[in-house]
Amino acid sequence: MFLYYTIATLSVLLYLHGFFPIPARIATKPKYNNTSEAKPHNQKAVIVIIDALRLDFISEETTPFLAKTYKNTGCFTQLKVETPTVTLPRIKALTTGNVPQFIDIIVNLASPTKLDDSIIHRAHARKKNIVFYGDDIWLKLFPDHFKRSEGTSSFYVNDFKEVDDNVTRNVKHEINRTDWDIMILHYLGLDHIGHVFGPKSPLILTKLKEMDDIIEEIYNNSKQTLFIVTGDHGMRDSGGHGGSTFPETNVPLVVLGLPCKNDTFAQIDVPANLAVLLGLDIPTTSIGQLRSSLLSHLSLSRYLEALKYNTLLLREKTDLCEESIETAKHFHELYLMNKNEDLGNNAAKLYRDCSKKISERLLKSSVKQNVGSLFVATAMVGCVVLKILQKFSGVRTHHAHLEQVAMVTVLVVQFLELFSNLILMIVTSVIFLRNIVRFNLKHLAATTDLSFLTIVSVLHPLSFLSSSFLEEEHQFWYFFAGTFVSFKLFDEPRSWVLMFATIRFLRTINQVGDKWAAVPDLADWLLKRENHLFLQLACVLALSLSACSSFMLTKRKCMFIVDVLVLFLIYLYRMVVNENVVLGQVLWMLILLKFFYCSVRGHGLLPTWLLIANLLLKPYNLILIPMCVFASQHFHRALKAEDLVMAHWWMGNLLFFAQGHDNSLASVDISAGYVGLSNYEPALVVPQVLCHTYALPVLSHLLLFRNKQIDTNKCLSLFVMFRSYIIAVVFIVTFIHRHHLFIWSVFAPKIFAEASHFGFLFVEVSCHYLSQTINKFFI
Amino acid sequence: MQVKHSFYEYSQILHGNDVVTSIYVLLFIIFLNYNNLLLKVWSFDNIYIIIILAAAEVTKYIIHATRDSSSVHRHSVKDLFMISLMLTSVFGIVYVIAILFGAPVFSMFEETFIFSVIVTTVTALPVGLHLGPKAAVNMFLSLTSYDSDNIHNLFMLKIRLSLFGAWLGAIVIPLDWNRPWQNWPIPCCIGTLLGYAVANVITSLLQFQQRGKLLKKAGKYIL
Repeated sequence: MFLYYTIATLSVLLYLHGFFPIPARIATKPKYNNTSEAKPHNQKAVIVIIDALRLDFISEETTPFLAKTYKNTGCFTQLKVETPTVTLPRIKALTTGNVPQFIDIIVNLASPTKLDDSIIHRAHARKKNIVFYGDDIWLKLFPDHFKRSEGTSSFYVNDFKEVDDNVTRNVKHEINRTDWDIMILHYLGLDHIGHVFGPKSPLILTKLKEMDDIIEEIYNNSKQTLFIVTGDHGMRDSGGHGGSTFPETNVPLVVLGLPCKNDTFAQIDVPANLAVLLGLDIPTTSIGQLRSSLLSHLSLSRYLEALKYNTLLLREKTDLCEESIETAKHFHELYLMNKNEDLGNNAAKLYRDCSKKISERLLKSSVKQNVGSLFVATAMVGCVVLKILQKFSGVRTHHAHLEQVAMVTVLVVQFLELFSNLILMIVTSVIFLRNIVRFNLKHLAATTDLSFLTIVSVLHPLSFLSSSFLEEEHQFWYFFAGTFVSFKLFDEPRSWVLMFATIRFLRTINQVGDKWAAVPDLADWLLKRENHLFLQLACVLALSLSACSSFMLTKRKCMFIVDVLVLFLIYLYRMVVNENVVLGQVLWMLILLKFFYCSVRGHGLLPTWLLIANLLLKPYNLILIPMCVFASQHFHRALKAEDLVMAHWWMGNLLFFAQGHDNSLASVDISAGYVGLSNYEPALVVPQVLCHTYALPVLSHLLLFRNKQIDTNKCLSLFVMFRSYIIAVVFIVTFIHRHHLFIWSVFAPKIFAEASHFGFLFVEVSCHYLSQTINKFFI
Repeated sequence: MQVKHSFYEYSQILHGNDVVTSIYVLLFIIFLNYNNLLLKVWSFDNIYIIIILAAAEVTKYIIHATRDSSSVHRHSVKDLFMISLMLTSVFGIVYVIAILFGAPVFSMFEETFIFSVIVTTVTALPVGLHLGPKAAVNMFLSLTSYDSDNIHNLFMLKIRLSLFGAWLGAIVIPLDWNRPWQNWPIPCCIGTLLGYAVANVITSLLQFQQRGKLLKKAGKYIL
């Protein structure tokens, strides 16, 4: 059976590989060179990028200097940025003028690849001196292009002050030096505040004033300098970013020191315009257009030259608009001969229309996806689902080993792209059909006792066809859990009403999803400074109830005193010492101690996991843990067999959403991964973040397996089957919707979310099999 | 007090009631739609909508009582008190259940109130009037497991379908179409009324079929 789980996991990886291919970028040598030797308007340029800068953050009240100055000599532009609204792809867009692919969001966490061309490369080629201070991602992207630089780490989100002071410190030195041409600054403090407190926090206002003051200081100490202040992406109303809401995808661009007009255009247009403004070559990767609002100070002949240059560069990327460009060139030449304004304007219009068409076409064209891989992966996952069903209904299969070998071979071959897609698709179809034919619905119906929850679980993935139900998936789980409970109300009213009321209460702690995400929830209320006492009370209540539930589960056989100590220390850690690093490490040591002691005694992972969950969850979420345990007790008492298993499965999924997660990547709480750490260390942060995300689902599973009458292997097979079924449907739905407007903002994150759920379930199953093997060998 | 019903006589009048009900509920919904009242059905200003529905139910009962006084549940003064008690408790339970399913607890009182009143009017009021408060309470308590082979089945069908319509109406609430009729409680109220209308259509057809069988048995063919 375990081999089938591995096959399913490999298929998921294959699908990801086929859906998000790493694009190969060809750096073409431009056939058309910029022959203009005219002096640019500004000698120096200062580019300030403030991470997570929202449109409404630039105003008279928040940034007085900027708001006043751009009205005199400058302009305010609304910049439309593409998804994913995460730093690395946005910096790439700002510098290369192209739209990075969704895969960059994963690469954002590992080290990014080098770029082939960008505005920085072009400036470096023209022997411009560039200094950079800020997010160290720039140093990874442009390792040799800065005359002086210093990077700051972007992953330690709890630091608001030092990360920016380290930049400002260098800025003060640079103002007095004259040997640089371009200064680039990337401030991270605002983004960090947003992640932890959200855009309405008073800390935001202080930070914006700080930024305003710094820019004012640089401005007053420099002359003839072009200033560009922008954000790489925005910030959503709940504080994070990564999705496609309006505040995330619209950022301000403030230009100072240049006569220009207010406008609205795309972020990818910035490098091309910047190149013209600074007298550089336009990067070969740019697919942006030139904007007359920024170039109004140029003479018509200079403007036409720039337009011609950009349009011809764009034309090299795709065959569109050939005739119009020739006509435009013709008008351009005529204009140069007799200086007729009308001809010049006509040429400009033709150039602009063509470059708009080409730019938009290039922006829209989707990356080639490997349909063969997608088909093979989906069919393989389907096969695994059928295999598990066959096992449940007791059907014996002939040549099982041969089939397994065939499946693994097909997966590996498809991944390495050794054979033609068609042959592999045919082989996969044969395997799949063979399994379908052997599948007997009647036999299955006889061996299972269908519960309401099972039927709804089967129908649930069909809701993924609608993007709204993907965004609001939590509503589905809450609603149908409520329906299940209301059926049970007729059997035993009092306890089930209590259960219903508990679910209703737990829903209010965190608002997730898209439609009602900005509605204030209990967590927001508890985090307010004036309600700190209530937060402390909630924390104490939750921890005491956790102690009770731990007592109930292990009945003092497993070092209960350690439990009490740990829970008390967690209270101190969260509420008193403000997450002191040393205390965090002490807590992890104690938990490790408990793990070794309890596992030896044969109590399994459950008592330890209870403590881990208490340690990692945010204080306002702690109440979920004892509620989970009590609910599980109630299920064990009131439900039988299939209902019991499905109820725990549902509880795990429901609490996942109640904790504050949903199907968007912005909901993963990275700040939870720093217990006992003072720096970003991927090997320690990532496991903590994963354990935090899946704390409650795993707790539900462990509470189910505690019951001696439950066959753990069978339950795990059931869970894997449901996860595989869900992910197969997600694969199919995403493939159908691959040209949908929301493909990158809703469906692609769902694939990642489901792949992550599946991966973690696979880890759970592996740990279980591992512990079983160890038990067999040592007992 | 259990009333002995002669199935044929009882169902003839109820059949008429059901046919009339299915027509007037559907017409009522269309009327509300065209007068742009559908979106404001939850407002206290428009409470006359519910009064009309309630009055219709009472009228049907009175017509039933006057045309066939033997098969109808007799109401005494004590019964009136019991019926109001039953209606209030059903209202309260529906309100609480609506909140447990997700309606806001500390706001939108008007909306949830009107929703609960509509559900009560359509499920509890007819049953309470026609069959008496005790039978109505029994029916509600055994919502999932009721099985009888007399006329009560039809009433149960109406209750179930109305509640199912209310439940189903919640599907459109999380969609991101940003339409005004997606807000609570409008889709659920419309769902209840539509469920009630559909239930009446089905019971009319069932009674028509049943009546046909009875006539055959009695040897009379009326076409």
